[in-house]
Amino acid sequence: MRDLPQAVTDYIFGLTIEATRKRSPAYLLGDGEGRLIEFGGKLALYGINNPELGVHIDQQVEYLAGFLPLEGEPVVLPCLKCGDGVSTDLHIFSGEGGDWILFLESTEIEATQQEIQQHAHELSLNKEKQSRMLSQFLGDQVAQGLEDGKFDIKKGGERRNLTILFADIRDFTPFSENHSPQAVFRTLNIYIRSMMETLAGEASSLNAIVGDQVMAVFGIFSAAASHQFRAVGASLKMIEKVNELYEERKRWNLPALRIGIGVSSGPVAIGILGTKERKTLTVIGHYVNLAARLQSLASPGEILIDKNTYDNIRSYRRFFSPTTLECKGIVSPVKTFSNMGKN
Amino acid sequence: MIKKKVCMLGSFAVGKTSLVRQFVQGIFSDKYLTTVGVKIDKKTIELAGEEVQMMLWDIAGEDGFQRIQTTYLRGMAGYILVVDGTRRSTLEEAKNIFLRIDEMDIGSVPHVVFLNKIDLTDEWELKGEDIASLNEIEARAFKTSAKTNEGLEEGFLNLAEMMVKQG
Repeated sequence: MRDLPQAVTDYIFGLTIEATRKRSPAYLLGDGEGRLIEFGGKLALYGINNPELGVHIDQQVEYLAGFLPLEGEPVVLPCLKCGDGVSTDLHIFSGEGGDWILFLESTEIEATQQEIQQHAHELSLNKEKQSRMLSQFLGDQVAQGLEDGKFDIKKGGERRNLTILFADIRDFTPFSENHSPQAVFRTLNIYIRSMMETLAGEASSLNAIVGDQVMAVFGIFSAAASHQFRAVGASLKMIEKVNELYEERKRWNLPALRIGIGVSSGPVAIGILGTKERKTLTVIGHYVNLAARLQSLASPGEILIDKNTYDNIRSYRRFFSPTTLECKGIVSPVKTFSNMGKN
Repeated sequence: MIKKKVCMLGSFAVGKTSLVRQFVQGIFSDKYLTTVGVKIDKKTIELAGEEVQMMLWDIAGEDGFQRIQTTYLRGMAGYILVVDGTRRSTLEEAKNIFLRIDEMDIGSVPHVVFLNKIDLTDEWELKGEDIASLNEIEARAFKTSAKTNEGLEEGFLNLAEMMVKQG
């Protein structure tokens, strides 16, 4: 402060003294061995009653164990609170006469910081929670992409070659009419979870649940295997998992259901729909409708895939045989392939 | 009586304060209240017929803005890395804290990991491989719940044993 006039430094000094005085200062002075040789100030406020000269400080203030005698630089322990005591800024420093321990009340500082910190942490926790929910509903990659603002879907929408999968629990409507809502949701959750876990494992980019139906889109992000291959791989695993579930639940005399799956590949329009507050990634087009139609025609345990998909799944082809179906809303018969050998 | 300083470390909102409150006072509240600075509590336990006083330093959790104040760690005999099992990221943060302590050149300090909030089974994010990865930080893990008290006694006792053994 050499460049400041004495009057200014005196004023600053006065401010500091005044601010410190309001914080109920108290002190302990320890010798080279950590024994108390002097004390003063409002020590009782800090839970130190009847300090004894000549006795080690850390025996009288247990939490100071390990700090005395001070070796090296001063130590500051901000906002330290012992039991139900007041919040304290603790300064330990070496000076004339030994090691000084200065107590300054920090209740106000703690309260202010607490308010800010609480708000910041709650915001972070909320963000994490939303991010987890996004991941659950959209898949990790889409959620991360949306969060980072790196999602490269053009704002106005675009056309992309993707694979669409629809899976639906067969005979769920009659089941839901004959069982309690609790039983319906419990069963639905078990089946949906089983399907969604499989889809997540096969890196589908967009997963949506509509009632007893699951929709997944493959190919939004690049992956090692083709999107057709991953979609069919996921379908086969889903059928296998649900079949296991079916057998197990039958053994336990629980409601047992099966699923049907439709898969179709081709160019579809993809874009983001919604308002500023709530957006959803959507795919629209012939191949989306086709996948939905194939799913509706699939028998329990059956996967129906279109020709575009079949042409791109070389090592899975052995599971499928050709069939031709009339699909509602699609003019000409569609060449499809089934894992159940329909002809 | 043997006295040992134990630091509770980890990210914010993993349940450090709740664990201490449950262990020391047998109280739990699910209202989140952030810790500023450090709160110190004591609990005396019995270990092989001997009393061990654990002085628990519940240190403000790490977040994007603040790191652990290393001055709080001075004189610690052991530490507990607390992970929120419903937030996978807190496991990596706990490992990072271990690595920083390891670099502090204070020798090998006994430590354990508490995988907390085990009562929230539906939200649990940690998988077998995550828990196995704790081998990297040479820590034994305990699944704990500050709400139900599950795993607390076992975890704290285990740490106390390690600290007493270390001397």
